[in-house]
Amino acid sequence: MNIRALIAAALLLATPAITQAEGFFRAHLEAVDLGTWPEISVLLRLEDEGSEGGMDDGTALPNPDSRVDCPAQACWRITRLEELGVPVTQMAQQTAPIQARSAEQFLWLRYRSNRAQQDQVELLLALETGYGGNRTASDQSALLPAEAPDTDLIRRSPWPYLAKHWDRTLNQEYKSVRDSISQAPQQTLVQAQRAWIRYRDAFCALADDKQAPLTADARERCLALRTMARAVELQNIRHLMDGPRKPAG
Amino acid sequence: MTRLSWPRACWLSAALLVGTHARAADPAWARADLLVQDTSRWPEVAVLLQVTDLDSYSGDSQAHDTSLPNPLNPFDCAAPDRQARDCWRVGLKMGGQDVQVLKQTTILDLDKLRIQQLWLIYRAKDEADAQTPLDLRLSRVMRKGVVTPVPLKPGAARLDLQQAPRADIADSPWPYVMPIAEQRIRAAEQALPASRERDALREQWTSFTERDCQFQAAVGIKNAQACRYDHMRAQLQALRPAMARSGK
Repeated sequence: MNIRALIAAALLLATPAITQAEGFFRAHLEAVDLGTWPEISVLLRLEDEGSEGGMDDGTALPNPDSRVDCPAQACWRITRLEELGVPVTQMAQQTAPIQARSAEQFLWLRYRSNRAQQDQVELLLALETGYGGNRTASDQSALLPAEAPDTDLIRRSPWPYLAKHWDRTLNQEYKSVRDSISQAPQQTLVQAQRAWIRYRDAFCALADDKQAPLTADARERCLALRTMARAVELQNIRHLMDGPRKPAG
Repeated sequence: MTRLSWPRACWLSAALLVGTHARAADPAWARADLLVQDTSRWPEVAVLLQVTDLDSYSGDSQAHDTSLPNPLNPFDCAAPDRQARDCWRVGLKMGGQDVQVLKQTTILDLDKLRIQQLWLIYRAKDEADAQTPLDLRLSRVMRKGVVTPVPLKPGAARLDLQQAPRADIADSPWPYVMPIAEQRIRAAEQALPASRERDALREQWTSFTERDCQFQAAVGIKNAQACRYDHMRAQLQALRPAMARSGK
């Protein structure tokens, strides 16, 4: 880069209005657990509106496996989390990996309500990526926990819920592939899928680094992530069999 | 909405501000390096290149933030005018004359999407001892068959066979690529504590890979070698947290 470009880059850095990206993430409420109020767990589905979901690999969503994206395993700075203008007490967050070409990910939050009694309130949310200025859209709607599906599957972590969620996806993809092929490869697919189940169980039975058995939560996380990965593989197979030139869906 | 990676956006903005339009229109953001070659079937020559997206936000991230085509994406590498799923349009010239490219395979790096290897077979002209460095041009085949040129770093677009080591890649890239991947898988498995569970995992992963690759070959999606490589890549990613804990 020559000196003029360097000067221009420096000028650009000194102009926050230009350099800060427009917010292009949007949060949707997937599930809520109100069973231990005033402690509340919510599972958010974060959509990257700047990415062409279903076809595009490029996304600015943070990668939970990266220490750069997610320092101290916190992928998001929660710049606003309020009930009727009153900040809640944030307790924990966990981010699920980006599913290939989904342009969305799940963010689990646990917080303590500061309301005097349990009532229907709007939750105002603003997020920013841990690595930089990418954030939720400026017109992000308020979330309504009282109207979201209430489940204790997200009480301590997102994994029991996501394990079920991705298991449903996997079954849909598997049936879709199986029903589109003739009998001989169908049998090979059935054998492959049985082998995958044994592999998944062996993978998730592994001891962790302290030689202790995996905790129940870690096992759920492992099952969820392995299931998601297999669902994506089968989805790719389905698309390739449909013909790579056809768009998703 | 299309977003630019940070270095690319910075370059573009800088150029717009200062007025270096000619350079900003086509900033080089990739490089291609010749890894190995095989001239054993002259005049058909096999080469293996490494293509790197220099602008991609990388760090320690496996994120999908790269402008290179992704052969694992069913919607990349598919052009309406071609049957084969080729991720690249390759132009080779020697002494100003076009050289015909006969085959290509794109192989993702085991760790990052922003690095990939491109195996090519081309038909050489003239005698073997009269070969001069080849000029390389690359265009990527992206979603919906959109083909766009990839500007390569100056000096990283010339392939000199004389300077590259030889490897047995005349038939396919796998004899060179597979041993490296197998070594990585063995190292990743060693990062796990020795136990019956580790042995069981090895056994079940091998069994799953064999059966799944039989299936994928049977329905004509991938050849067995490419499938095995993709399984190794996926298994390495799955084992990465264990490797990070053990410091390997």
